[in-house]
Amino acid sequence: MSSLRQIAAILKKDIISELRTKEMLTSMFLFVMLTMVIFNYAFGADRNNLTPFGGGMLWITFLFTAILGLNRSFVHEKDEGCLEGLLLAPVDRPVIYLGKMTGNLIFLSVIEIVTLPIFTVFFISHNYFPQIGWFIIALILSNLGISATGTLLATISINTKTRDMMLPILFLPIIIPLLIGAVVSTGQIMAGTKNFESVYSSLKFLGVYDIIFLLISYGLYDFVLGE
Amino acid sequence: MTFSPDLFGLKETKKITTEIDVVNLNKSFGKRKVLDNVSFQVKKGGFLSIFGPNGAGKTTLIKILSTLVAPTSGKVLVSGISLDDDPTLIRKKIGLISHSPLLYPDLNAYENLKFYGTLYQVPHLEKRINFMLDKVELSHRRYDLVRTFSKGMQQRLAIARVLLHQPAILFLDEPHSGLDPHAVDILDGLINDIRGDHTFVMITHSLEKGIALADVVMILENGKIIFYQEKEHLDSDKFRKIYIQTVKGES
Amino acid sequence: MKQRMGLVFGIIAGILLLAVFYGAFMVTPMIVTPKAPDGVFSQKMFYFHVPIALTSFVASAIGAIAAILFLVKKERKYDFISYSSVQLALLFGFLVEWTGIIWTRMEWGAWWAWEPRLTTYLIFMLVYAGYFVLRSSVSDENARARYCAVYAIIAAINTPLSFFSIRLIPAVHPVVFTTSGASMETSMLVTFLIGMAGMTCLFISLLITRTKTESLKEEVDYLKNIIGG
Repeated sequence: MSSLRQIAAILKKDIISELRTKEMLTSMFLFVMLTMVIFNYAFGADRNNLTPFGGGMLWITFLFTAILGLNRSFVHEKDEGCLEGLLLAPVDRPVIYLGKMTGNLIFLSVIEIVTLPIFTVFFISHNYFPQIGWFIIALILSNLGISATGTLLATISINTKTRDMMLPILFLPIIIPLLIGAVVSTGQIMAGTKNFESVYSSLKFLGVYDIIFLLISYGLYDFVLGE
Repeated sequence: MTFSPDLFGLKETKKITTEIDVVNLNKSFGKRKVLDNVSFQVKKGGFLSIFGPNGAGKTTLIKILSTLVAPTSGKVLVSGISLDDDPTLIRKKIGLISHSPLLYPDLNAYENLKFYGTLYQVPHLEKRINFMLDKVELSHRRYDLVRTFSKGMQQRLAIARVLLHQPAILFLDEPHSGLDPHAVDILDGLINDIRGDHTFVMITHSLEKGIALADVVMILENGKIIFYQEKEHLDSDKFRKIYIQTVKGES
Repeated sequence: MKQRMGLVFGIIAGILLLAVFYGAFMVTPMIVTPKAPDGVFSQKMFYFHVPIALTSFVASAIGAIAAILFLVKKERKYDFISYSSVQLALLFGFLVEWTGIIWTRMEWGAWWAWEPRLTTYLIFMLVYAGYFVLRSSVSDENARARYCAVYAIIAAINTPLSFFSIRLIPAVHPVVFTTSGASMETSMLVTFLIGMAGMTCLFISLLITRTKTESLKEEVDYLKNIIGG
């Protein structure tokens, strides 16, 4: 019970800070918009041609914007030494992990909710609204994996000499399996596949990935924070 | 030359009054020994000042005592609790004031205290926050963002943050460095207020402050205790000589 | 003693690997398929490629197990073992990739065809390349060892996951080195097993030597610091 209150306190603090400065959300949003504009010039503006690649384009955008957010979420903790303040507090280490992870999950999801309609209008010709339930499940499972792994690796990155430059190098190769699952599931839905088999198997894979990395990160976070 | 606290007969009274008990503490990073067989005790309500050149292991020692770093070997009891047993319980009883205020710049003074108060599960938190803000003379700025505070005000708020959960043991890592005179007065005032029923361990480079506040002074060099004496019996000339020697050896 | 063990395993590995060369090119029969009635010469790569691939997985697993031991026991030697094993995982991963690329070039006429297993190995190499970037950018020795241990564990778990995930993509390419159609003859099996044993000995030999080197390096750094300071 008290742990829940502590998780909520960490989350609340991050949300208040963010709503005040809007640093992270603004840059994440602008990044997504800019990427979409670049896609238009890179791949041409024909929505019918682009729809089969929708999943790939979507997750390139979301994954890189997630990296922006993950880095940002630890900058204050590190710069003001606040991470040490958290470590000094009588808080179980997993509480810190869950608090930070939930924050990252929420920020990423907010950006996705805002930009997904724009993305759809820009690039997707098929109306996938009837399958939106499955689409949202795929989105949630993918976000969970990104935040679970990302929070752990961002904590490592921020403590290295190269800081935010380290995160993509560590995070991208580890997230590739999840990325494939995300691209296949959302891409197939957006393209209006008749064969839902690969969507189901991708969703199952995403679920397995999430469980594995949530458990591992939860268990290893202690070692990342300190001795 | 090593000084063992046993020489001063502190061990006999240990059962009743020892708040911090360090026995044969070692810490090494790789092959490098940062703390080499360090043993000492601090009595309940005592005030230990630690001097020494940079890199002598002072900060590492404080970090070990405040559960941030694990020792390589040795026994450390803080408030009767072993470091390995229940670090969370120890964390409830300690506070650390260091150079950085550990405050979130985009939260206001009240929110910062509320956040830390919730983590520490401070009872009657609102009342306690008001009380502490009064103490550090920041009540009128309670809803201002910490970002807008001067360094001195941030340090005062940091003091409020540390004392919020009424820690029985306070670790001060060069608390006076970077403070403006007003903040120094407030800090010293607060320390004097709560002396006696609180235990202090302070790292400092300021001989005057360190000796004035302490009951026991200690010099660390290369991870070893090379001087340890109670203030009542302090031979200040000898102390100064040793201190200046160690600091010189640094350069 | 340990150093001598490294040498012993190295010599055994040398003998066994020479035997594989002999077995692969002189003893085992050519595989004949309907498309290639003269026999598929590039199939000989199988006797090297697959043992190297399996050894790289072993290296990755040992890297993770030593990492777990380091986190639990906090003994420096496990960090050295983990680090050395990860180095070898990357080295063997590179060899897998290289032998695989030679094979695809021979069979499909393309240097790169996004073949699932080779793609898995590309990801494998990228993951472990990250390990070395991480290792070089943390100065505090204890923190470096801890972060690298955590990453080595994640990296090892990631390998099977990326292996499966690639199969999620609809319309995958054909898979290299199927033995179907040609049953393994005894001579082929024996040659393969000798290859396996040879690579394992090579790995053990290199692991022992690398680990020893790492702890000597630390010793040298320590002594240098004493002289310098």
